Amino acid sequence: MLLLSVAAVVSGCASGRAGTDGAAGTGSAELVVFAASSFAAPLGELVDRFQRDRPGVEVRINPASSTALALQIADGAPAGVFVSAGRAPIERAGGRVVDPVVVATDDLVVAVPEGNPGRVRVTADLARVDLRVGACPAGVPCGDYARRVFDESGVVPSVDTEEPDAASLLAKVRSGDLDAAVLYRSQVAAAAPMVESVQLDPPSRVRAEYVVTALRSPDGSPPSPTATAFVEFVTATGAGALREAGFGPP
Amino acid sequence: MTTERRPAAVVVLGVLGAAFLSLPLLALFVRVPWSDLGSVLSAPATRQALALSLGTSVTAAGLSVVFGVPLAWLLATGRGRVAAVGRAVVLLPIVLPPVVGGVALLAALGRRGVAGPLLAEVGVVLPFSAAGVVAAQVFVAMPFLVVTVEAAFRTTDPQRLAAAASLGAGGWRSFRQVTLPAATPAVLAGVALAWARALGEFGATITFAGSLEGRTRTLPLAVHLGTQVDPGAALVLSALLVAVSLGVLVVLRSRWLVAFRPVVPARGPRTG
Repeated sequence: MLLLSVAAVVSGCASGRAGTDGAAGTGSAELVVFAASSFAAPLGELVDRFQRDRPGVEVRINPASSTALALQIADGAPAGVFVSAGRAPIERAGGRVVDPVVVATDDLVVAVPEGNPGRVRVTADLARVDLRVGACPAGVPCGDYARRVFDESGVVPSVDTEEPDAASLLAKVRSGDLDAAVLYRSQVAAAAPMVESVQLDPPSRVRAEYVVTALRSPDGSPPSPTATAFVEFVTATGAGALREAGFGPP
Repeated sequence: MTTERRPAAVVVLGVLGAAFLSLPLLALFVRVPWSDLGSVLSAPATRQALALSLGTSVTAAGLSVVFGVPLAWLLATGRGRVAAVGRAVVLLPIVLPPVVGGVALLAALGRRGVAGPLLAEVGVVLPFSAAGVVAAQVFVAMPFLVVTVEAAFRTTDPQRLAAAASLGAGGWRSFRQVTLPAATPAVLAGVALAWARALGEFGATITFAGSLEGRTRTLPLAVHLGTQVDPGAALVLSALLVAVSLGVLVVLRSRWLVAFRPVVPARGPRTG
């Protein structure tokens, strides 16, 4: 936390100086977006488009588990926008949240390495002890969604490791160190062909939600204009791009 | 100016340094939710993490002695380029971020690693196992023992070795009866350092061995999980680790760490 704030102060000073010395003038601003690790890649593309029309605006994404980010926000981390993989972390982020909006939804699939070496066919295969199965911990969105999927299907998975967030979990599937993990469909699709998805069988009704919100500053002052503009951009202009990337409508 | 031994600027900077090191640890205890203390400490997850931490770190320290002492002796007595390269390689894990050690271990011993498939053929699969935790700990901890012990071996009195040889002692006998006894304080100090480093290991462990309650989730990994989902538990477990580490330091301070001091500069080996 301390390191984060130090980094923000340092980068804040640097960009402030650039604003006064450089040609950008009054348009100069920095926005820090705390984002669910599974959403960092599509969000990165939205950030590129957002910045293209706004010279002098610099957006930085801090990807991690939504729950970890929510705790940091509640502790006063210098974030302007929070994109969470679910509503629970939004609650934990506390009073800094302003009008959270669901911006996209997603399904869950079983992610397997290229070629599906563990020959995973149905959800119940994740109970096989001969497979290396990964998960996210309880309390982290990717872990809670997966637990709901397993509860629904009555499968007790034989989990070998709990990785801190969805991106770390996907990385272990991509490297082939894990045979299977329940993850988000679009996140898995973006990692093709190194990672393949296997449909949940039986199908699941569990839907993941991505929620975006601007954040008040830690001292309670309203969100910056850049933060508000970014949330509007993501919910309006960004919606089409997110559909194209395979996300479902809110 | 007024006192020749303690200039004010040095005192101020030193006190600031001490404050920077001690205040965060004090703050940790200020913020520990004492009402949760009992429930967190008595939780099965905590007991498993503590037992796993103690078991794996002691094993890692033992393995570090078994392989590290001979390695230290090879480096201390080695000449030329091979020994120089060997010394650099042994130092690397000390300066590398532990997470790089974890990535390297996966590259070597992971399922699709260089040697992983070979090991799997003979039934040894380290990732996501307690043995993998030990491997990660040995990787980051053994260098501390090697460096400490090598320094002692280098200062072994050549005259005593010559005397042993003149009395008919072979290589093994003079190693066991002259070299090793002279280095015993350094070996003990090295064990303490390696064990403490293994107990605190995080980055290489979570990368190489993963994190699963009761199997690979050591105390530092439990602290990290706490910071992700349950800050109160993270504070209690951190306090537990501080207490364990402090206890070890207090026990060691009187004996081994004091004995370790004369080994560092190039003074004589007669530390006892």
